[in-house]
Amino acid sequence: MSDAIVIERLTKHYGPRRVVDSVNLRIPTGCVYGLLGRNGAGKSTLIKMLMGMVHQDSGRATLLGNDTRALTPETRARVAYLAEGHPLYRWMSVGEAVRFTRGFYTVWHGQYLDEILDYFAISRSAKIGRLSNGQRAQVSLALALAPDPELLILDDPTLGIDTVVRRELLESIIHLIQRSGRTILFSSHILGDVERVADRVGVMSGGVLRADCPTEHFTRSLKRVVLEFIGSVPRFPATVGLVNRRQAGTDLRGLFSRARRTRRRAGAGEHRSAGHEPGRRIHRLHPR
Amino acid sequence: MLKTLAWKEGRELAPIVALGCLVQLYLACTATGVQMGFFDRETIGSIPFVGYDDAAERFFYVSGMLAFALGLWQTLFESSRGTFQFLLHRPVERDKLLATKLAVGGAATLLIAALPVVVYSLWAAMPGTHPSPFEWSMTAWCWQLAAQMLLVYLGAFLCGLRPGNWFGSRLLPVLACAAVIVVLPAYNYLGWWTLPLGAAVAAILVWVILGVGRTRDFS
Repeated sequence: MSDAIVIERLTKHYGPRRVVDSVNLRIPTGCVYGLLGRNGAGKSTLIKMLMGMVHQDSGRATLLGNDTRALTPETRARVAYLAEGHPLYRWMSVGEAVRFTRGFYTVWHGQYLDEILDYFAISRSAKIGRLSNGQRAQVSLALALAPDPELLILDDPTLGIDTVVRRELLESIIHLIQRSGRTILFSSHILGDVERVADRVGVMSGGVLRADCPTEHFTRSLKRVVLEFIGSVPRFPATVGLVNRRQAGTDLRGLFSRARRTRRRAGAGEHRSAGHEPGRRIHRLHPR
Repeated sequence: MLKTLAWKEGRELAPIVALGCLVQLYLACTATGVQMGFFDRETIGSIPFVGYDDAAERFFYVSGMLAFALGLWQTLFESSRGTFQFLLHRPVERDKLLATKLAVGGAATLLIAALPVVVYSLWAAMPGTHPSPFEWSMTAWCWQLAAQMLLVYLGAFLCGLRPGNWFGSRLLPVLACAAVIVVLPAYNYLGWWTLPLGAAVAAILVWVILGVGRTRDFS
């Protein structure tokens, strides 16, 4: 089976900051891949490089066999892209947005689009600017699916959407996935969303892809460690298997996975165990 | 494909174009002596299109401002809403997308710039409207200036598209175009050479715009 998406050592800097750091990833055709990571982890930048919106500093990537630096209109017609925040022209009505988007495609399943809009109970006469975030996401999804794309790339499709609508949107994505063997890459900062939908999970943190494995393997391998400190709280040290970390008051919370991850050069201070810095008193250690 | 994009651009620019046409018609009416209040024709006895015809020059101050607004509207509106990412993913070459935007914006700029010149010229050409001779060749400098408004539009479009600091180099293209156009006596001296020179500058601006569109990050 060929790979729908191939990423090789993709790197991007914004000024001195490396926001995507030598990412290697292959997503096979028919796979639903969830890219997990906190805000600022580099997920959106990685996706924008795949879509040709942002130019990489080094490395290469292909979508459906085509170099992302020179995506042809024919390739773009086979790929659906939902950008973060579901940008649409707010002055348009839903019907106008459909007619506008329809004008760019030779393949267009109007009846399928109507079914999706009916399923979400969205009127064609409604102004996009008056729709809620969730409804705009639904319209974006409908417009993305109408050309019957082989590959869907969704950049945090549930961003800014409340819990109930988020669940509805995810269920529709699952339902739509089951209709055909599409390849889907979607990013999220919510583990629960990714677990529900994805076959494989990748975790990005600090611009690095730290884990890439089947979803059940990932969730089984997760361990959460909470360190409670007395006094000042140090920065969580770079540690093998660390996929996420955050500070909450005087606690340091780390999420560890034994899942396979991409290799990178060891920096200073890596492989130190958490909490073994001299001069720090740990009040309590909670493994979960 | 490009028809649908032209429709979208036209709809987005329609409020500015409508406002511009209204203002220009108002100025054209005052230039013809119609009592409109603040901008009444003050220079009674001056010859239309000859010498320092301030009535006609007002057309180009308004055209210039609106050309600037059109160029920025077409770029900053998309950037601020994030819709460039929606638009640029459509299955059309990026150059064609930008060229369609430029074609619609350029046509809107020419409409706003040319409308008052048409009205004023037709009025001046009608016998009995003013006590002075009129030849259509007297309107040449107005048509040249109307065409040069495209440079302001293209400069503003490039300003809006090109990433950079507003208080740095970002405004340079439109400032350079405006400086060229403000030197009116030089334009009159150059006569019909202004048109090919202006066309060359416009071609360079379009080439730079398409280049920026290909190379910048739309993040």
